Amino acid sequence: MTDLLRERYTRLLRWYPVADRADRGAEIVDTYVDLAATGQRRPRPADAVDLMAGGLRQRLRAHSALGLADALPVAGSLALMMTTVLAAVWLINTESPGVWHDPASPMLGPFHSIGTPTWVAWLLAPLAAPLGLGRWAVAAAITVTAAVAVAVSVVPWFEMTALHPPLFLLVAQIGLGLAALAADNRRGLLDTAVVIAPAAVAAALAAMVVPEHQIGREALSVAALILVTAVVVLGVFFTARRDRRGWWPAALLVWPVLLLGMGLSLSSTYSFASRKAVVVWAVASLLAAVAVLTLAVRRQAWRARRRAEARILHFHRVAEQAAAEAKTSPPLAK
Amino acid sequence: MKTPLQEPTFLILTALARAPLHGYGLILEVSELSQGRLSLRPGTLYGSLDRLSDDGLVTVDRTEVVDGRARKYYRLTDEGTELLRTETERMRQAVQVATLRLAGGFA
Repeated sequence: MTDLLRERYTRLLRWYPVADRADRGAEIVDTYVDLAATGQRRPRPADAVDLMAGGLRQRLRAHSALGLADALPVAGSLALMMTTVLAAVWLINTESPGVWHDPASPMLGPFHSIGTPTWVAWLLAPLAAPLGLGRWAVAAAITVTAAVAVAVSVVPWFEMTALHPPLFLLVAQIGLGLAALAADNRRGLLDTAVVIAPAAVAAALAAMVVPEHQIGREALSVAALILVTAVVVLGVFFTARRDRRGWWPAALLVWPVLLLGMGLSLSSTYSFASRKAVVVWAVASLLAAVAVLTLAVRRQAWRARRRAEARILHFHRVAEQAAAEAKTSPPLAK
Repeated sequence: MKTPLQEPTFLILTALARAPLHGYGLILEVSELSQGRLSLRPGTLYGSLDRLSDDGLVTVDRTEVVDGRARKYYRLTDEGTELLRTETERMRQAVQVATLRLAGGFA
């Protein structure tokens, strides 16, 4: 039984670099087996996630890019704040009594927009943090958003609620949501809940003065601007403090920022109507974001190698200098 | 390493302050120190140990073979002990100030 469990844990070590597997693999598996409950036959799902995260972290360590892993919670918190504030804007923009609703348009239960369950799910996500369910709530909000995105894509517009959210807006929310999964499960989400309270009020006030026909475009531009400003400020702050997170939050949030930019770049009519344009933009921006991250990791590894080489060279020079001085100096008198 | 330390890092260093420990022992000790609030998983623990080792705070003390399995024991370096001492003093002062204020005194 133990051998079978050991074998199954060993299989999960494939996430680790080969060198780490050889050096540490047995030790990690032994510790898991020691911790296993009596009669346990398979690794628990949380163990599988732990080994996957541990393996990926070790791969980053091998590239001297651990700052990327360290930056995930802060990038996740920023993304979550943004999704929640945007959700508040969209909710007010569609369900506020001040917004004109065509009485002939279909409704979704008591709601005027099919997007409303999505926005409510996002607003509930930080509130689940005190229960330790923050990440589950974020995952649920992503699922609801994806379901609404599918509905918006396949249901003809005349059968849809009048104020249905455009696809580009839902896709941006999903992108931000995926980044938000990296927020610290309890503390990060709790901090987010505290921080977003004033932000949500500001968003509500802003939404009330935005004319209905311009739904979302101003909010998207403001969100993109806030996100870019936040990562620049963080980048400068971390770099000044020699914190290894440095500019990694900026690299991690490239995709969400590009997705927020989608609604601004595509023409109003085009972005509302074309599924193809949204899909092409989302895939192209994802590829661009992956390329940025890959290049950043490689550059970090190259810089670390250069630093190590410079250090070795320095030691060689010091040693050579010491040897030369020893040769030229007169022998000590006996 | 930047201070203040994060709680898991502080607890790992505290667990190693008394005597060298192997991975399994460290997990049990950290759980006990946190009164069951923090249960480290091996993937996370060994990642933290590597990081602490990179920062020169922890090192391998010895390797023992038990039931045919090699067990590495980890210990604090002098730098690790010093950092833990500094951090403990900082926390002690913060607690002292808070206690005084709660009692209605000045600090």
